[in-house]
Amino acid sequence: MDKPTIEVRNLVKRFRNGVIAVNGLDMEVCPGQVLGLAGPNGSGKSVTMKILMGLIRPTAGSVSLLGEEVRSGGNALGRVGMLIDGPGFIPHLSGLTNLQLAAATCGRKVSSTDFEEAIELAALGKMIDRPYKTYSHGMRYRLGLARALLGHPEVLLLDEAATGLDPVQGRAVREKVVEAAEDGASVVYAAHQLYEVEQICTHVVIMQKGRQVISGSLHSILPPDGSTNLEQVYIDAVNGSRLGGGLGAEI
Amino acid sequence: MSDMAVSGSRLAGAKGSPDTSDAVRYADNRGEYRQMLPIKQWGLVGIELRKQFFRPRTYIVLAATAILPPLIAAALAVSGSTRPERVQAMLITPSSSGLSLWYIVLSSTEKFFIPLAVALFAGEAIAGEASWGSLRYLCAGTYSRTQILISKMTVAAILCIATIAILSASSLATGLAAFGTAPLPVTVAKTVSLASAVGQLGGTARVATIYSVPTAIWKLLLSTLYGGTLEITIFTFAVLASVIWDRPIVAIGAGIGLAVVSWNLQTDAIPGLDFFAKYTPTHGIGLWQWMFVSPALYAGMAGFIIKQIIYGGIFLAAAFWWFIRKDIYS
Repeated sequence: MDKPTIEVRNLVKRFRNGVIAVNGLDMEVCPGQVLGLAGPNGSGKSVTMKILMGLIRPTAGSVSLLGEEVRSGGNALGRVGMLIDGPGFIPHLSGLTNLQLAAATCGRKVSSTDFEEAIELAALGKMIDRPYKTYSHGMRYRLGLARALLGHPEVLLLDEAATGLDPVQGRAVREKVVEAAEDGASVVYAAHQLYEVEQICTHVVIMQKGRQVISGSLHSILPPDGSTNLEQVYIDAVNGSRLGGGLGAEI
Repeated sequence: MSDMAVSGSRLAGAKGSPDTSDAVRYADNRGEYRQMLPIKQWGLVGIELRKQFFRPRTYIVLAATAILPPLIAAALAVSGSTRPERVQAMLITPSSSGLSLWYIVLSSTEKFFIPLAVALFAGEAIAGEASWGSLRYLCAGTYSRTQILISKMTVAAILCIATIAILSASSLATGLAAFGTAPLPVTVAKTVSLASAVGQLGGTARVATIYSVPTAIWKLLLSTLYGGTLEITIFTFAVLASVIWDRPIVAIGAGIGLAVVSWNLQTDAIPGLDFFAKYTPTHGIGLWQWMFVSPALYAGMAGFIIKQIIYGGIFLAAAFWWFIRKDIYS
C-alpha cells in the first residue's frame, strides 16, 4: 500500500470563544483514494479542510501533506488543488484572466496543455472572456473546479464541489474527481449529499460536532448484502451521537 | 458533459500535442482563434497590479483626482479669482499666478481627499480580496503571508503615489493654463508692524513674498512630499484594519476615521483632550506653508515626519503580526 499523502493525527481546533470545531480527528488518505468527509452543518468539515490547506492553525494535533507538515506558504501546498467554500474569483476579471492568475500563483508548473485542459473543463464557451461577475452559479463552480485541477495536483480538496449544479454538471464533476483519483491523486471530498459520497468515495469519515463518529473504507461500513445505504448509516450515527452514545468509534 | 464537448471543439487543437510553446490558443468572443500571452510566473506584485489596475474603482479615483483641480479652478473663476483667498495661514490670489492653484489644491485636499483615497486603496488591500472570497485561494498557495502582504501594500502604495502625482500634475497644468506663468506671490495673513512691512496699508501691512516659477514649483514639490508623509500613518492604519477585518468598508472607514478623529482632536473639538493634540498624526501638517515666507521656516517639520514614521512602523508591525497569525476563513 502507498504511503499516505494526507495524514491527520488527533486534530483539535478550538476557537477563541471556546467552541471546539474539530475534536480529535484522525484520518489518512493514500494516492488513488477518495475520502468522503460527511456530516451535518457545523460538524467541522470546512474547518478541517482549511486546516489541511494551512489557512487555519490547529490548536493541537498534526497535519501533514505529502510528507511535509502543513504550514502557510509551504512547498507542499503547491501540489494541492482545492475548491472550498465556493469558487472565489476576482469579479471584474474574465474567467480566462482568473485562470491565468491561478496558474501563476498555485505553486506548481502549469503547461499550456494543462491550461487548455482547464479551459475545456470550465466549459465556459464564449463567456470565458466575460467578467466573472456575469457568470451563473454553475459556471462559477466549473471554473472553480478547473482551477482546482489545474496542473494535475497530487492532492485534491473539494468541499461541496457539486453544490447547485444541475445533474449533468454534477455527474461531470464526480467523473472528474474519480478520474483524478485514478490518475493517482489523493482526494478529500466533503459533501452533504451522501449519494455523491457513496458513488465516488473509497473511504468515509462522518463527523458530528467536531468528532468523527464513523471512519473507514466504504466496503467496511456498508454491509455487502446492500441491505442499507450510507444515508441510513449516517442518520443512525448522527442520531446515536446526539443521544450520547451511538457508534462513536471507528468501524 | 455536453458543455465540455462544445468547449473542447473551440480549442485550437493543441491538446495532447507536445508542449513546445507556452502560448495557449483559444477561441475568442467572435469564434476567432487567439493566442494568449505565455503563462509565466509574473511575481505577486505583477499579479496584484493586474487585479487592481483593471478595477473600475481605480479608474474612478484616479479620474476624480485629475478632475478635481479643474473643478476648483472653475469654482475660483466663478467666485472671483482676483480676490485674495485665505489659505490657512496665507493669502493667495488665484489669478496672480498659475502656481496658486497647486498651493490651494494642496491645502484643501490634505485634510480629507487624499486621506480618503489612501484609505480606499490601503483598506482594500487584504479585505478586498477577502470580500471576493479569493483570499483563501491566494493564501493556500506557496507564497508566504509576508510576501502576500508586501505585494498588496506595494500595489496600494503605487496607487496612492499615483493619486498624489496626478493631483499635483493636474493642479500645475490647470493652474498654468488658467492663470498664466507669472511668479507666485504669497502673503502672510496677519498684520505686522510698519517697520518690518514690505508694503504699507494704513497703519498695518501684510508681508508678501514673490517666488519665481522654478522656486515655487520646487517649494510646492517639497510641500507635497511633506504633506504626503501623513499618508504613511493613514496608509498603515488602513492596512492594519484591512488584515483584521474582512470587510473593506470597515477598513476604509478606519483609515478615514483616523484622519477625522485626528483633525478633531487637533482643533480642540473634544474638550479635555487638547493635551493629546500634538500627538495626533495630523498635527503639524500645515507647517509646509511656512516654507513660503522669507526666510523659510522649517521648525517642527522634522518632528512631524518622525511622528509619521513611528506611527507607521507601529501599525505596519501590527499588521504583519496579525496577518501571519490570522485564521483565513474568507
